[in-house]
Amino acid sequence: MSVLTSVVSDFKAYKASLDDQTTWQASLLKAIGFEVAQHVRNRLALALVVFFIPVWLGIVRAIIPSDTVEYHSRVTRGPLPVNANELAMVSGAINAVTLIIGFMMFAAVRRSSAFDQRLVLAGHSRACLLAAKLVGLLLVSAVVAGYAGLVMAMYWDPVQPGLMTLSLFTSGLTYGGLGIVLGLALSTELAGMFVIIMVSLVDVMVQNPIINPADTQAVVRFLPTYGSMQAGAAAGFTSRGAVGYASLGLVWLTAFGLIGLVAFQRRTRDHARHAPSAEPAAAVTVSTRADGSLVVTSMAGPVVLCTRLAQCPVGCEAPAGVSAAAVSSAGAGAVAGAGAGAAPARPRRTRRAATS
Amino acid sequence: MSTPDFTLRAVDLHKAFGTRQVLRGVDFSLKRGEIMGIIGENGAGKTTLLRVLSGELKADRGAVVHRDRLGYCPQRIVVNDELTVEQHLRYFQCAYRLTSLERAQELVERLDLARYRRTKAGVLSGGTRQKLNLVLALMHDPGVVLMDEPYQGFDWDNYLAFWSITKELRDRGQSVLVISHIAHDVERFDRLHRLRGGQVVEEAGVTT
Repeated sequence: MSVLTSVVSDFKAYKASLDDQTTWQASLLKAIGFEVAQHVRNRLALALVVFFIPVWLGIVRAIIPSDTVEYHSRVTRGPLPVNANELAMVSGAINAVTLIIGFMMFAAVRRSSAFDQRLVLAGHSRACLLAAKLVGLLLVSAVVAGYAGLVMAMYWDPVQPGLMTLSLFTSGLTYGGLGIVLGLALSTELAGMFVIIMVSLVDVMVQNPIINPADTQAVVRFLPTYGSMQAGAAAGFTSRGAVGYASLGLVWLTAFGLIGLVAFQRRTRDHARHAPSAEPAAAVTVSTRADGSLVVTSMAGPVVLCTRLAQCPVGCEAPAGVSAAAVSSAGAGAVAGAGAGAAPARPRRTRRAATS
Repeated sequence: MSTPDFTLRAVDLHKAFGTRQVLRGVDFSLKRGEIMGIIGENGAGKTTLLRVLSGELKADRGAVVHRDRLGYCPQRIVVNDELTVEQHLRYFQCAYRLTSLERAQELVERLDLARYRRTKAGVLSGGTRQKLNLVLALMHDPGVVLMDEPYQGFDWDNYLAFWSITKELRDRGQSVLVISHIAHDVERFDRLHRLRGGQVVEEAGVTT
């Protein structure tokens, strides 16, 4: 007990020491803490985890007959005779874990979408926020997969319970990654839920040998939980190792993570431009006239228009008191002061607005 | 519109949503130590303008240049319902890289938010959420503050506290841009403009 008290007090002291730190590591740890807090406060998801998994597996246990079916296992490289009831529990557990974690991640990302954008515009690291979401996903998947593995063990004794839990864990990572991407791409919760449910429906049904007795490995191997299902079946009915198959979930997570990174980058981009105080202020608008000449309007500060950049001597600088600005085009050189000026030119490239 | 002593400048801003042209060449400068107001009818494009100025939205044409750090208080309250007020402050402390929350604590006290420090944002009233929204925009003492309907949901005391804070910012050389559908106290603004026809024009008959 004293050890536990000591660990708790050490943790509190460490947490307090982070309070006023703003380093990348401290920001990441705090972001992870806030991410976990959000998941813990998602009561619907917690209720689903606590009640849906045992109820769903209980229903499967009670309803599905225990006939022998042939499962097309890549691990045993041939048809594997298995108990249909127990196989249905494997696919049912994967189905429940993927739906719950996919929904949790989708809801968390979508609900914090505007907040995350505000944080990034305020200066928070995008990589830090996304890394916190991924760590949150790892923790949530570990807890939910561990719980589902325990519940399954109450109904049935898989040959390799550790590998079974690992396959549930990686299936959760796959759908958690999908949830992150959908949370960044879709605007309504209904749309996200539909997509997650439909993907899961196709994913699980096509791999179920009761529904699809044919050997269609060429197609099903591209399904998100293919690796987890193969590893789960091997864990349930054989003593063979299938960590490689279970790890396919990490490939899916990496793919979804990269898509999520790009989507997050686009969504949180800062479009305003910060000009340091020391920088001379110049804002230029360039437009074309019907005769092909350019109209250059300085909205702020005097500017030098250099239309023959290639011919400028090395080290050429703007005259004193005049802000430097360059507009790339062909034609005669011109100097424009504040206000409007016209520079007849044959435009090759026009920038509608430029600032320096 | 050309002012050398600007802290924020909008240059020829254009923004359309589909075929609907919302901004049609917005040009204005905000000077240091100035409170500027921009008013406009519903649907005039005020929120679009502020989103473009804050960098949240990309203009189709034109540019936004700011010399000082921005503080942005959006009209739609952007907080995380699952996090407490204290957690919000800690999160934004990292974002703004503040060594302490001294200024944030001061704002929290002045806006009577201190008793909600451990309360989740999701269960706060609309006015209290707006106070948190405002604190997040001001806690890093920004040089330029952009506010969209900043006092919505405030009672009279908080409305006065808001203007007291705004005036202090101005007196310290910071600049404030307030966008609203209606301006109650025009004398509180140094300049008042109107967003009309997608452009910012000087409000007729208002000299402050």
